Amino acid sequence: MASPAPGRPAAAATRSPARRPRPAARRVVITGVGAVSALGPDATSLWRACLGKRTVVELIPPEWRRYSDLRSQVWSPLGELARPQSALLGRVEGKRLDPSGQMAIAAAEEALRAASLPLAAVDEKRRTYCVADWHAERVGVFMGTGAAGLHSMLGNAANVALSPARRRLAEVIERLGATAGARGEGAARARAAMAAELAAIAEDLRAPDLFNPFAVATAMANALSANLSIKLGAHGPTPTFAGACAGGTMAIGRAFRAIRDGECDAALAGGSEYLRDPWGATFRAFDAVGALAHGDFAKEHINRPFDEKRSGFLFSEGGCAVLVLEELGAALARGAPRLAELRGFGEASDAHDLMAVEPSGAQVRRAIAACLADAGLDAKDVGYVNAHGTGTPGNDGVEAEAIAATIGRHALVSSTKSLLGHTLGASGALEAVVTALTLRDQVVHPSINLERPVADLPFATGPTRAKVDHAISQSFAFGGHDAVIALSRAD
Amino acid sequence: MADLDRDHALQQVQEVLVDVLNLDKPPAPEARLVEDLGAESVDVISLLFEFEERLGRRIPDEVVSRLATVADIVEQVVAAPPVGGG
Repeated sequence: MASPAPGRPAAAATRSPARRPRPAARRVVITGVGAVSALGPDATSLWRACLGKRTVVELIPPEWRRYSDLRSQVWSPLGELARPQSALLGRVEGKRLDPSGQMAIAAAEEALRAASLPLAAVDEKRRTYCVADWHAERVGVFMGTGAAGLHSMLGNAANVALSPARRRLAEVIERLGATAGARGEGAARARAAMAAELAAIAEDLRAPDLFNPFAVATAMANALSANLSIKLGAHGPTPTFAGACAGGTMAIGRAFRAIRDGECDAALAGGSEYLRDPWGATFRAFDAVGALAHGDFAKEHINRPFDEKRSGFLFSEGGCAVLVLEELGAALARGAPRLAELRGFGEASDAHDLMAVEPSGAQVRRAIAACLADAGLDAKDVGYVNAHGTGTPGNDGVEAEAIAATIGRHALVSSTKSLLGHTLGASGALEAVVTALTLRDQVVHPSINLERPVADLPFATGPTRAKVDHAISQSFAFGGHDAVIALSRAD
Repeated sequence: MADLDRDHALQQVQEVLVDVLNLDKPPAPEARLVEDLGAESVDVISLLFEFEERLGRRIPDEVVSRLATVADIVEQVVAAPPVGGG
């Protein structure tokens, strides 16, 4: 690291740099949204489920218990939704993508359709497209994730590591079968029993049968943004943010700033995550640190954000959301639908611990305050807070206090994770979709399983009609990343 | 996997080619992969993976560069030993 310039006072390093004057204010609107989640294959099903208090909580796959003693026994599965069909993908093209990337393509297709942005084919064979109304060099893609590609990397690593042992076991089992009757009945039974035991061992060596030659492409987290940019010919900035549970919110916030500050005119922004593996190893990683919901409640009641009896978050198999963001003038010029305006973005870092929120909540409060300042809003303007609300003992108390301290006790609060579980890097994007639809429809979705709130805040416990002109959606990640976006009702 | 007869192999290879190369109709046996069907290097990787997954046949790396036509692929698929378990 470079030394300070001679003669520069040491204090200069800690002073905030002077703010660059902003060009004539450009405003940013959300013109379409798409989502894939355990609550349904699209944004509409997600929103209806949220308003209808629908949640998907199942017992974990039973084979996971053969590998680990797990404290948490429930998760929120995606099932077939993890590999959604999309007109933008060929039949075998999906094999070059991790499920997180495949969901992103499907969510982007839905979002563009909702934004009334028809796609024109550029190369039929490669299934690449462009948005006719957009200048490709002025279009960005900003995606967030925790560990996109992890599922694919684990599978291919298992194929490499376990295939020799699986092959040898198969050979031994075959030999035992071939000689089973050779030395009398007793020996035959013993060999059959040994063959069965070896077959059981082979069964536990779970791995994909084939090594995917696209192992690198499927494991790259940045494939999330890269695939979308390739599919749509977006030549602007295309970063992927590895921001753990705040990745989606970071990505949307950065896309907002890129459009507002003139770096691009339109963007796809969101987050995607897929966390299933054959052995429940990823689940175990969170379970091992006590992060997952557990306890004696019936499975539908075990996920309890902001409740005094919360025990951890509901592990989601994954999910994805993509938002179409456009500069307001361009959106108006083409008569685009406007769901909401993106108004501000604030960030801070706890600089405290990789897995625990800093207990005073000082940086969470700073991030919220920075977002309000960026948006030019006062706390009293905010009518709804889409909380991070994970259901972990550490997060919810600190977050509730921070909301009370920065926003006050007038704004309705709810946790989308109470219904959806935690989709990590996708959560901020899914919650941005929910917040935009809250502003459009002027109704706040409930938090469920909230019987004794940790704080005196106006939590929505049923679908609540309300005049909401401005809202914030906030995400706080492992790693201490605090990110908050502000949205306003489209005028 | 049982032995593949040539007609069945041709049909399966054509199905894979249609899917991977996004073709309108099954290609003729004499069609050339690169010149006629527009296959790129990444498509060849996909093709080999599909043959292995759907047909259970792994075409050896050393012959891949000699695959010029659809008929060449059929020849190699028929000749390749079935992929072992594991």
